[in-house]
Amino acid sequence: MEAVGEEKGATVAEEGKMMKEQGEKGVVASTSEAEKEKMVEAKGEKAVAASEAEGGKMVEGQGEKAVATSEAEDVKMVEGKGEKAVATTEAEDVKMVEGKGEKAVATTEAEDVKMVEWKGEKAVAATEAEIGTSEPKDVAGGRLITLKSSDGKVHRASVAAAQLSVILSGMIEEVVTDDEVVIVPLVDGPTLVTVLEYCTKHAEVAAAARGTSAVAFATASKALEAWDRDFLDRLTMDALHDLFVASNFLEIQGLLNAIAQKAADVIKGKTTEQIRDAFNIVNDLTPEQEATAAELRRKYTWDYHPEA
Amino acid sequence: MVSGRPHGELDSWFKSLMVTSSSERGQAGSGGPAPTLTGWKDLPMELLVRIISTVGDDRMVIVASGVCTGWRDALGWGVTNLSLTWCKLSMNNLMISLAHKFTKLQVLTLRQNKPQLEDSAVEAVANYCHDLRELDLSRSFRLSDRSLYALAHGCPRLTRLNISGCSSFSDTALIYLTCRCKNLKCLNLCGCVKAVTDRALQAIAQNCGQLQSLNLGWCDDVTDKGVTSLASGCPDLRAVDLCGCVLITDESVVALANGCPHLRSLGLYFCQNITDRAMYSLANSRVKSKRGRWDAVKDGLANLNISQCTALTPPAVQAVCDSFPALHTCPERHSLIISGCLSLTSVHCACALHPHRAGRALMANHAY
Repeated sequence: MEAVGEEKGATVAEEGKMMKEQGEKGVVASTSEAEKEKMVEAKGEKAVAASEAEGGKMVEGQGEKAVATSEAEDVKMVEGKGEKAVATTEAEDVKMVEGKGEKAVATTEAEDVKMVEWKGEKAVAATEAEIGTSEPKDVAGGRLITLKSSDGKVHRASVAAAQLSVILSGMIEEVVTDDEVVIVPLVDGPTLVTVLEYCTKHAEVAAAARGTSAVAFATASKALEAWDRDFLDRLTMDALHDLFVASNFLEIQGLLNAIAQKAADVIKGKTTEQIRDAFNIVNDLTPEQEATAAELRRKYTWDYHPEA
Repeated sequence: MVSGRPHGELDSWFKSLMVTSSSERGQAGSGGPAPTLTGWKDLPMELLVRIISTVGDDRMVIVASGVCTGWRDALGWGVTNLSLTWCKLSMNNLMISLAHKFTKLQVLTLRQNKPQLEDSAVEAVANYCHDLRELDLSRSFRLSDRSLYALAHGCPRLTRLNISGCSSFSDTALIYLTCRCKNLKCLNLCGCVKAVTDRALQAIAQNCGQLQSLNLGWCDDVTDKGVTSLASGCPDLRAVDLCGCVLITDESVVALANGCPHLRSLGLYFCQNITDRAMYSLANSRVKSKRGRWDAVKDGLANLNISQCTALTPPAVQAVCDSFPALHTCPERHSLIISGCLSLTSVHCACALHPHRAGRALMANHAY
């Protein structure tokens, strides 16, 4: 069969045999460090296969892009028929991942997951082995959802609590079944626990205050403000920072405001040096920059003479 | 191949790109330590600005900028709203020192009780703060036309400008400013006696079609010619203050009533040439709007100051009051100001006939 475009073959392994091109401008680069890589065939615009495992047999790309990266022992085949199919397996016996939608991403970390199949736009699967034992009751009497933090830890929370976050609220809408897990990137386990503690408390108070009198509501609001202050007071400055960043990412306005107020109270009326001490910040200004800034502060603010 | 890198380095190269979370600091993969957010010094810009604005003291911006380079840069890029009204001495030098640090400013308040600001500070602002939208230079008696020319070139996106009390500006400089700053929506020219002439108002009408609020208080060179051109050129005007513009007559009010359907506030304090004709034209504009000439109009006049307009009679003012229910003569909520007009004591708002509208029991006669 004649090749239409340019043909380039590069084999690094011992038994790399053959490369074929059948697209208009198909460039196939095969770089194998394993022993028995047999063949890479490209039929679409671009197909790139990079096999770094022992028994990677074949990658076939029939869509625009098919990329397979296998890091496990017995991965047999990855087939991409949509726009993008990406399979990343980190377990022992994963047999097949098939992507038929726009985006299919499978991440399995348990032992015996056999197959995950997607037919919609987004789906996230996690095994029950990862889910923690704590089962909080939903304050609204509805269902619970499972959240997975960036460090892989899994947490259960009520929908009412999670909906205090604009981001989580949007994610929850896409969760169809109870065994699905909402992955929360950029927020680690301990921080997510703190976030959920805040959200659960606020959801409980909101649920309890429904239908009560204006006086009772005002009393509950004051009590909640006091709870917020105590809640933030028991955190270290580092934990407060992580919570601040997380609440910004998750878009929890109440928590953002509370932390901003707490930090503002720490800062208020302090000199630059006192602020550095309070927030554990090392001064990295050059001597010249420091002198200029100090001069400005001396002239125009209370800095270096806070009593003024 | 990725930018000429050998394949063996790819794994470590990708790992070095990852940002780990706070609990994994310093635990990156084999590719060396991954870049991390190391606490408060790397706080995202919007969060640091949020804290500083919560403090509620603009001096804090200067103090916090000296904490570390991270905070200095974050505040330099993040602070969009700054007020130096607290600075009682040397505001000029302070502004010159800060202008190049806060280049993303959108709102800047430099109001002074004692004049400190000079052209050099305004020029610094114009040179560095090109995103400026709102600027308050009120009571800056020392400023000259140089400042307006600098603003015209450096801050063309201005939507609100307060130069009340800047009595040294000329109408030539103001005209030049309006030619460059065509997005102006709010302009306070109170007391700018030399700047506010009919020629300047015609330029504003021609260049600033989006104008919604204009204060011409005590600009006593203004005549009907200038105001009528405003009424035709700026149909979106909501608030016009002509207090102390002693030369204007009914023609100005008639033009505003007919040309500015969204007018909510009109100040005619001490405009003693205003007669009943002006009042009836205002009342009639409401009737026209009810007939559907201006479908979007809902509320109409909510504030009217006719204090010291001694030529007005009760029936004419009552007609305005009846046309615009938002006008009140009630104590504590009066928005129809008729002080100094002893003949208008019988004028009353709708609350006299419908006490429930006021939300409390009121005496029949609300006038004072």
